[in-house]
Parts: sequence; structure tokens; C-alpha cells
Amino acid sequence: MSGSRPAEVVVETGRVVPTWVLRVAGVVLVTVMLLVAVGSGWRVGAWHVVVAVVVACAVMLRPWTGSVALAVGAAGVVLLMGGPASLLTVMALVLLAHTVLWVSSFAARASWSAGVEVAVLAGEVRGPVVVQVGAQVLAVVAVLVSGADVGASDAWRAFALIGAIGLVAAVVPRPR
Amino acid sequence: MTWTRTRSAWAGVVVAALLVLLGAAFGRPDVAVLGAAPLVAAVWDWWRRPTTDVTVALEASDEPSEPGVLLADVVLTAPADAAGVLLRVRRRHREMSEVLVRVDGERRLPLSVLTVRTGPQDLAEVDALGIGPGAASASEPAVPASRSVLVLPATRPLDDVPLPPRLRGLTGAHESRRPGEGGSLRDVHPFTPGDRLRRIDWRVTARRAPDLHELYVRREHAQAEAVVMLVVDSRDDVGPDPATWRGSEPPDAADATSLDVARQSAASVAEAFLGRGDRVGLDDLAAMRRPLPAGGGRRQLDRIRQALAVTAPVGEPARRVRAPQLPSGALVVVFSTFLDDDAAAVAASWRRAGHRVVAVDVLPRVRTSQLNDRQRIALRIVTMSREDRLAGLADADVEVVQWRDAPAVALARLARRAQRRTGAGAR
Repeated sequence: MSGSRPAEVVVETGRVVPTWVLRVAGVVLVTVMLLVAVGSGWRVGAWHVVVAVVVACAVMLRPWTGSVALAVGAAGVVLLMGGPASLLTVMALVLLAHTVLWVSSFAARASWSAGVEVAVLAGEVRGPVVVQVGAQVLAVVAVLVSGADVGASDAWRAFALIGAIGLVAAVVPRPR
Repeated sequence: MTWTRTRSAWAGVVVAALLVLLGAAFGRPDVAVLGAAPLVAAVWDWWRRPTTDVTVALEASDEPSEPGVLLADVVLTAPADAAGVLLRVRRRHREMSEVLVRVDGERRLPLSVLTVRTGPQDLAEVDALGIGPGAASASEPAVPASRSVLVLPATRPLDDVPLPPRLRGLTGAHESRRPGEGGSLRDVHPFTPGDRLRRIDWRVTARRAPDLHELYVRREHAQAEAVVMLVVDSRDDVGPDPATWRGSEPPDAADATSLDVARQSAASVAEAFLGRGDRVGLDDLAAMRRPLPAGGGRRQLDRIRQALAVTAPVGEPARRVRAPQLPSGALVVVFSTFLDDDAAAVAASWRRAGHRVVAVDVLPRVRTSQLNDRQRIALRIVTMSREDRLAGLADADVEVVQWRDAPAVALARLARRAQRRTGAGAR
């Protein structure tokens, strides 16, 4: 059987994440992002979940076409239609939108059967995390400016989330 | 080198900018902030994109390789700003491996290729594409790197091999029937002028001539060597799948072809004879050039393996009018698929000329599971004519060995048969 044959060509690299794992992660992230956006204005139902999964699968099937950005745009439009969202929803969406685009960028570079060295992802994660700290602060300011009701507990959660992202930015290895 | 923004990065920038504009237009900062992070990250990634080239090379490895494994090093150079390099390895126009690797300046990646094939072949072809920060930009593809190698045939040990009916010379590993020195006892003979004094057998002399009127000496057999000519039929190079025999599609890369089997079997037979101190030469039925003359020693084995490795079917082979001339008394070993009459006719003519001829059938074990009805019928016709041909060889007193069925046992059986043969010159 061809399946039992050893690989004809082997390139010795460091630890590798298969591209399909990145794509599956992208599907999960896009689904969660769409459901969070829907949940900001409506009650999430079963058909919302189904549609979100179908859309996520569709966009991650061909990530190199830029279709993932359309899903981010769709989440923004849904957020716009749903009215002012809570602080946590906005912060979560800011995080998810950026993460989805970042993951799909790497997933789009290689085919299903390819692999991405863990060192590549580890070396590149610091930039988005640093940007994310500023974006989360901006999200808090934006929610305050938009006049949404921000309670003391929301403020503490926001502070904790920004602190966590800042900690990750400090911990991840700096490029040499 | 030009580093261009990828389509997915462009789409991300456009959508992020639209979200910012949408939020501003509708007075919704919570919507606008959704596009802030991707927009800032995209601008940052574009600003720090690399500007220099990505290069790839395929170099010989310093590591010792095992049989059936080809080793090389993929050497990648990339600017330090690059996120990584997308490496694609192809072999025989099929993509074998694709991986995005981290490269800080220069990186050397060991590459190993499993192969059952011998002879000249491309090790691999490697493409490289630089990936910028955040995978938002990509370089132009680097000039592909490739490397050609000559894979020498490996050998398998053979315990015993048949010898020709006549041995040559006064030295060697085999005992001839001629009187001489070095072999076992031939007879006891009265002393004659020229006999060495240390050859006198005093016990026999005391028994036969107690008064010492005559002396007796022990005479021994002389040593001798065998001359073996290996004849490879390189006109055919067919795999186990008969559907590929037409040549319209190549044999599966994981299958050894008949020529690979011929190279391995000829190298094994050569090693067996040379290891016993015999002289081995090589000829190619398809090539109109001088054969590799018979010689002995380790370097002759290297020469034979090299000559076998470069043996390959080239165009339409010229038809031979008569069989190539071989050293008299040589053992001839013909390696062929016997899919046509030529090799069999040449082998039979050598046998008629008095050579001992061994025909080694190098056709791989045929795989018939994927054949359709027409192909099965065609294979049956070919198989029947081939069996008739091999039976004709046996009738012509050519000894046939199937290399796919325990060749060491078959050759040892032939070697024992020669020992039993009346009047055989070799032991």
C-alpha cells in the first residue's frame, strides 16, 4: 500500500505545524468571531452557528484569495447593525479580527499538505501582540467615547485583558 | 529583489480601512476600532519588509550515506527581516515536500532521498520563496537549485558462484588440473631432474625403495584463476507494472526497474568473483564500444560498478550481426529481461562456441493487479513467448537463474553442479 511507504524525500527541520491545523484553527476563530459579532445585537441561535461554521469553512478553504478579510468585514457590518456593543464584546472582536487575519496569512502561504515551522510562528507572534495592546486600549477609549454603559467590572476586565496581552508581548521572544 | 504584498494582505488592509471609514461615517468608534489593529499591523509589516534576495542551493552532504539513501544539504540564505522561507522540494516533477522554515541569515537543512534506483538521476529540485513579516509580503521565487548524482549499484553477498570449465594462469584461487604448486596432492612421482629436494616424500621413498635406489616426490596441482565476462543487456528498462512497458509513462519511482536489477545483480556477481581472486570484465549488448577488459582486484570492482551505473538505454540500439568476441574459456553471465530474441540468441551462440553461459533473468516480479483485460492478454502473450525463449536457452545448455527468486541459492546450485560434472576442470 502506498500509505505505508516511507516518505521518499525528507527535509530535516525543526518542529512543524501542519498547514491544515492552521486552517482548522482559522475556521474556529472565524466562527467565534462571527458569533460574537451576532451576539452583540441578537440572541445567538442554532442556525447562526451553522451559518457561521459554513462561512468560516468557505473562507478558510481558499485563504489566499483574501476571503478571510471579507469575513472580518462581515463581522464589522453585523456589529454596526446590532447597535453599540459592550466593552468586552468590542475587545474580543478586536482581538479575534486581528488573530484571524494573522493566522490566515500564514495558512494562505502553503498548501494543505505543507508544514509551518513552529519557530516561524513564534518569531512572528511578537509584532501582532504589541499592536494588539495598543488596539485594546483604543477599544476601551472607543467604547467610552461611544457612550456605552461601562461598569466597574467591565473596566477591571478590560484592564485584565490589556494586561494579559501586554504580558504576552513582554514574554514572547524578541527577534535577534 | 522585489517583495510584493500578498493578495490576502491587500484584502485585509482594504477591509480594515473600510471598517475605519464605516465607523467614522456612522459615528461608531467601536466599529472603527475593529479595523485599527489590522491596519496598523499591515502598515508596520509593509514598512519593515525585506529588500534583499532569497537564495537556495543544494550542496553535497558531509554525512556518510547508507545504501538506498541519498544525502544533501539545502542551503538557504534570507534577509534577517524575513519571517521565513517557503521551501518546496520536487523530484521527477512531483512535489515531495513543502515547508515554511525560519531562516536567520543562512540555514543548512539536511535533505535525504530514499531511492531504489541506480544510475544517473536528479537528486531533487528545490524552490524557495521568501515570506515577509506577518506573511504580508512575498519575494520573487529564488532561482531553483538542483543536483544530479550517479548512484552506484549496491551488491548483495553470494556464497558460491559457478566457475568456467577451463581455468587460466598459474596463480589464483582455484585449483587447476595441471601439475604445479600450491594446490592439493596430485600424485607421487619418481624424482626427475628439476624437482625440488624439499618435495621428496621420505616415507614413500622408504616404503618403495628401502635401498634408496630411487627417490619419490610429492606433486601438487597448480593454482589458477577464472575469467568471467558479465554481459548486460541495457536495451530494456522496464518496471514491475506492464502498463508502463510501452514507455508512454515512466515506472513508479518506488519500483526498481529491470536495469536496476541488472546493475545490482552484475555488481554482486562481480564482487563474488573478484573476492575469490578471479578476473572479471564487462560488456554491454546495446553499446557498440570496447568492453571493459577482464581484470582483478578491488579497483576492478569500482570500475565495473561505475560502468554499470552509467549504462542506460540510449535511443534505438544498433543490431548486432554476431555475438561479441569474448576471452576463450571465459564464463559468460548474461543479464537480460529476455523480452526479445536478441539476448537469448547471443547467449546460445556463446554456448555453442564452448563457453559456459549463465543467463540471469532480471525482469522484476510483474504486478498485474492494475491491468485491464486487453493488457492482461498482451502480457500473457509476452509471457508465453518469454517462457519459450527461456526454455530454448535451457535446451541450448545455457543455465538460467531468476534473480527475483533467491539468486544466491540458484548460483550455489550451479556451482555444485559443475563440481559433479565429469571432467570439469574446476573444483
